[in-house]
Amino acid sequence: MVFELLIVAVICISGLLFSVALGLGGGGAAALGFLSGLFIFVTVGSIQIVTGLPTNPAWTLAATLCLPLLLWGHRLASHRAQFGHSIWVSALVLPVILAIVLFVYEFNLAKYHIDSFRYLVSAWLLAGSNYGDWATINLITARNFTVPLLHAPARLYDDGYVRSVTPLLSLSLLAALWWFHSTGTRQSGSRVLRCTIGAAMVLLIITNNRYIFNSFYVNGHLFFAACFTVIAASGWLLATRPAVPRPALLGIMAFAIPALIATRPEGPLAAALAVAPVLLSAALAWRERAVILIVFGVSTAAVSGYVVMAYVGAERAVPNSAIGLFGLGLAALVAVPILAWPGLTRYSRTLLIGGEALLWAGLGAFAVRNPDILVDSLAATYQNVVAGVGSWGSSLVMLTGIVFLVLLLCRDRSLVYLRFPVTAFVPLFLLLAYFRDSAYRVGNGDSLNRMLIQIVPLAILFVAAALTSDRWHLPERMRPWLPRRGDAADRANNLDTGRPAA
Amino acid sequence: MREILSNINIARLNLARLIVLTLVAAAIVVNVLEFQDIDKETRHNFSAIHNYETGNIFEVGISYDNSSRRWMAPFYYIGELHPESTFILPDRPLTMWFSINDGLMSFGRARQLIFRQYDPATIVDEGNWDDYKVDISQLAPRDTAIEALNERFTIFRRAEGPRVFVVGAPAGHPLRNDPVVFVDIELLSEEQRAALGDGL
Repeated sequence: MVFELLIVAVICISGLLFSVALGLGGGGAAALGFLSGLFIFVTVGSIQIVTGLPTNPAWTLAATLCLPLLLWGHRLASHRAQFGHSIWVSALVLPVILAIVLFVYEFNLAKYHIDSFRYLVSAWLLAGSNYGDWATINLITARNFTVPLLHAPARLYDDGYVRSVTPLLSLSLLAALWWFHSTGTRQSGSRVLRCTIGAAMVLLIITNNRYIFNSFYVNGHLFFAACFTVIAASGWLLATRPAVPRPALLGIMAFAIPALIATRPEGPLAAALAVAPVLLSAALAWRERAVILIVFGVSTAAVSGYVVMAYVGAERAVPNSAIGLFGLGLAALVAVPILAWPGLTRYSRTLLIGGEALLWAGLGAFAVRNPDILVDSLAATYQNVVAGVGSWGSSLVMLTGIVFLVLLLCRDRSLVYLRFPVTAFVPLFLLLAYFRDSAYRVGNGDSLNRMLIQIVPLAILFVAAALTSDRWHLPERMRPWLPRRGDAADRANNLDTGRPAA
Repeated sequence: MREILSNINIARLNLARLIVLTLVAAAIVVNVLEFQDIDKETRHNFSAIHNYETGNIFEVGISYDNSSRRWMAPFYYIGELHPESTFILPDRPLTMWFSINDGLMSFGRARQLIFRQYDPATIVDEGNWDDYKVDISQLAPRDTAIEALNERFTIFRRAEGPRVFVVGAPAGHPLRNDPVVFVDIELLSEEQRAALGDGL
C-alpha cells in the first residue's frame, strides 16, 4: 500500500506542478492536478511504447515527474507566488489521495470482467519491457496503451494492478467537472444558483449506478470519459472565457489528446469530435489551434502507425481501419496551414452541422448496405438502456430526455463546444458497430453498453452549463398562457437577440 | 434558508429552465431510488457495489468466474509458484482461447520461452508423475473453483531445483476448455529430453 501511495502521489504531484507552472490557480490545480498527471504519465508511456524504449514503469514515473518539475523550476524564478500555490494545493490534495488509497485497501470493490485481465496481460508485459516482443495484434489493437500503462506500476511492488487509480480518477473527474462548471459560468447568475446547479450536476453523476461501477472497474471507459470531458471543456473555456489561464488549459489539452487516442480504438475519432469546435473557433488564435491540431495529428499517426507496423511485423494484412486512422493523422498535419483560412471560422457553425450530418449520412449509407447490424444494435441497446438489462435503470433515458430538452429550449450557442462532441458521438457509436462488422448485443458486457459512460460526464456538464445560462425560451406554441413575445418576460431574456438581459 | 432561496430567485429562472432543473432533480431522486435494485439484479462483477473477500482481482476472478479459471488461472498460478521459469513450447503454435505466449510472459512471469519441434499431445503420455502433481486445492481460493481448475491445468514438478517446464496439451490444443500441462523437464525420460533438442 505504501508503494502504491508513492506512485499515485508522484503522478499527482507531477500534474500539480504542471498545472501551477502553466498558471492555474490553487483551485484549478487541485481539481485538474491528478488528471493532468495521469495524462502526462500515459503520454510519456505511449511515447516509450511507440519508440521502442524500455517500458519499465519506473522510467515512465521518473519522466512523468521530471518533465513538469523542470517546467515548474524554470517558471518559479519569475513567478514566486506559484511556489506558495504548489505547497498549499499539495497539502490539500495529498491527504485526499491517502484517504482513497486507504479506502480501496479496506473495501474490496474492484470490478472486472475477462477483458480486464487482457488489459492486465498488457500491463504485465509492459512492466517487464516485453510488450514490443510479445504483445499480440489483438492486445495492441483492442486493448491499446492507456489501461495497461495505468496498471503496470503495480508490478514494481509485486501486485497485479494499481487498485486506487480508477477510484482516484473518478473523484478527480468530479472535481474537474465542478471546476469547469464554476469557471465557465462565473459571469452568469448568482453564486448560490451556480453552486446549486453545480451540486445537482455532481449528484446526478454520483447517483448514477454505472458511474459508481466504472469508478472501480479495471477498464478504460472512465479514463476515456475524463479525457473527452477535459478536452471539450477546456476548449469551451478557451473559446468563451478570455480570462482563463490559456497556457494551462492548452497544456492539459495537449496531454489529454494523446492520452485519449491511446485509450481505446475509437479514441482518435472521439478526439476529433472533441477538438472540432475549437479548431473552427475564431476565439482561439491560429497558433493555439495549430498546436491542438498538430498534437492530434502526431498522436493519431504515431499510435495508428505503431498498429500498422505491428500488422506488418506479424506478416498480416493491414486492415483499412488502421490505414484510415494513420491517414487521418497525416491529413490533420497537412491541414494545419488551412487553419489560417478565415472562411473556416466564419462558417464554423455550418461546418459543424455538416460534419454531424455527414456522420448520420455515413450511418445511413452503411445501414442501407447492411441493415441487420443497425437493427440488431438498436434492439440490443433498447434492451440494455431502456429495458434494464444493461444496469442503467432509468438514468440514461432521463438524461437523454434532459439533453434533448436543453437542445430544444436553450439558445446559448457558446455551449456548442460541449454539445457537439456529445451529439456527434451518437451516430459514431452506431458506426463503430459497422467498423467492427458485428452488431451490439444484449447484456452488461456489451461494448456499447459499457462505452455509453464515456459521454455521460460531458453530457451532464453540458446540461449544467446550459442551466446556468440565461438564454432559454419556450417555443410559442408551448406557452399560450405566458406573456406574448415582446412582453416583459421575453425582454428580460432578450429572445430576439439570443443574448442575456443586461 | 430564506436568504438562499431569495438568492436563487426563482422568478429569474424562466419556465423552460425551471422545467429542466426540475427534471434534473427528479432524475437524481430516481437514480437514488433505483440504485440498490439495479445492484440486486446485476451480476456481482457488473454491480456498482459488491464487497469481495479480497482485493486481489485474480483470486476474485478465479473464485467466481469460469472464464477466469480457464484462461487466466493456469498462467497466474504457474507464475505464482515458479516465477522466472523457462518454458518450452511446440514450434507449431498452440491454439488457446487467448495467446499462450502472452499468458506465460505476463502472468506466468516467464524468464524465457523456447520453441522446439515436438508433439504437445503425446509429450505427457508416457509419464507417471502423480507423485509430482501440484495439489491445486492448496491454491484455489474457494472450493467451487477446484474442479474447474483441475480440468484446465496440471503442474508436475520436482520439489526443488531450477525450473524448465515443457508445455503439453493432451487434446492437441488447449482451445477454450481443454487441459494444458506444465511438466518439469527433469521428469521427462532421457529419450524425451533428447528429442527436444540440445541446450536444455
